[in-house]
Amino acid sequence: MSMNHPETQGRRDAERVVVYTEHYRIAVAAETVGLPERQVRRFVRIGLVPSTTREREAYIDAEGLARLRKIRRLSEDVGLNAVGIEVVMRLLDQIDELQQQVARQPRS
Amino acid sequence: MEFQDYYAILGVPKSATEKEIKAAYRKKARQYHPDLNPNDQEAVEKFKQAAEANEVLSDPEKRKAYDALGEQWRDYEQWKKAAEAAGQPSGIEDFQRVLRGYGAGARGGQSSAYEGGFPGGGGTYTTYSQEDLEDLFGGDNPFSDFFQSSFGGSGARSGRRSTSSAPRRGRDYEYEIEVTLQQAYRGATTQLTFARQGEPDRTLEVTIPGGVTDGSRIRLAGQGAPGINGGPNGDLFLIVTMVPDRSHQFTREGDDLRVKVNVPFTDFLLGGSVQVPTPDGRRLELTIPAGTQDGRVFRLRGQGIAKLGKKDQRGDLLAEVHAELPKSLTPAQREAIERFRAEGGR
Repeated sequence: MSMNHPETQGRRDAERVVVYTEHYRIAVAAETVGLPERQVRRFVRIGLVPSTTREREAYIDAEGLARLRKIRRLSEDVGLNAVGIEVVMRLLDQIDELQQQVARQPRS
Repeated sequence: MEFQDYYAILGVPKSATEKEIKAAYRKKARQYHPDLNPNDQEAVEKFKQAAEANEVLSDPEKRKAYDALGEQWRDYEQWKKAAEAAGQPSGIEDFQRVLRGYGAGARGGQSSAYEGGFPGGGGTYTTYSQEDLEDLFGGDNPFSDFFQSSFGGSGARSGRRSTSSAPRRGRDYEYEIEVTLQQAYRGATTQLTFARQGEPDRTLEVTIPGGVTDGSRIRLAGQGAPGINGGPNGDLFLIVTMVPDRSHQFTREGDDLRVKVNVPFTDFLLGGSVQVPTPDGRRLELTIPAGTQDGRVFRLRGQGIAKLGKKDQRGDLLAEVHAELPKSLTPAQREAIERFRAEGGR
């Protein structure tokens, strides 16, 4: 609909756009996974859950949501407290990274 | 599915307290939890068993049924729901009476008949959401019979755990949407396709109101997650991100819009008219008075961006005019300009 094309003048036909990102405000994400909002904010603050900020409001995407679910499982199934969760999540990330490195290396 | 001794799986005596069961389950979870044992299929299997055992033994009602009926406890669960729905007595003893009356063959037929009658009621398994199950055991990896039978066909996409069957509102969805200046100028109708994992794509016709800006939220009532147990649907919110104007002609200043227009320098000196473009492709005729200075801004009232939420009100279009100078001159033009300079013009 650039104005350099006079033939589009006055046209308001539907354009087709594909939207594919899901974002949740922290309160919504917390309710979705079943964790207290305060805890979720803390995990975001210490960098355990990725977030993006728009208009001073933090949003969590699908990957962040999956991490929050994992956190909730570690809390409920294994009985870890907040400190334990922090340590375990970081270690799991490291393991993941190492496994990927190993997989990338050519076998000699 | 073969009979599982849940007490043996967790390694607790039949007399174990709730606390002891929880502790035993957590001990197993510490060792075999799939989150802690990435890519370990053996751990996954062991954890599934422990989770199932815990699910049954940690729920006093299910445990009672399991203790009394053994492997038939699950048939009882289904029979109970049907009996309750029909307003009939639904105790364990009633179930046992039914078993004695009909014999095992009839029981099998009966339970499968009830299964068909309760498409949405399958969610007896409360510890995990559908998303959890996919995280833990993979989306394409068939769950154990247990997970399947408890979840089969139920609307468990709520994404949160629920122990009550009270009607609940479905949760809200939020999506980011990119809006062009042209769309925000007057408002627009557009088709959006929404893709969610595990759901078919949906295409909705969306009206983008005029005047939206970064961070504006457009609400599509009732287009969120389906309500649970007959509750209302959630809403769908579109969060607006403005994309920069492709033509780089227009700058937005709130509801006002600034546009730079090049004007032949002679119009500045002698007066003239110029066409000012608008984002929706119109051209507005602007009269330039003689003696206009470079960079002057003309305010075209009511030709700016629609004011959000205020019908028929618009900001202004600010036309900033700039002199366009000729790059080369014909001999006659040159002569005229030189004469202009000699007359004291600058």
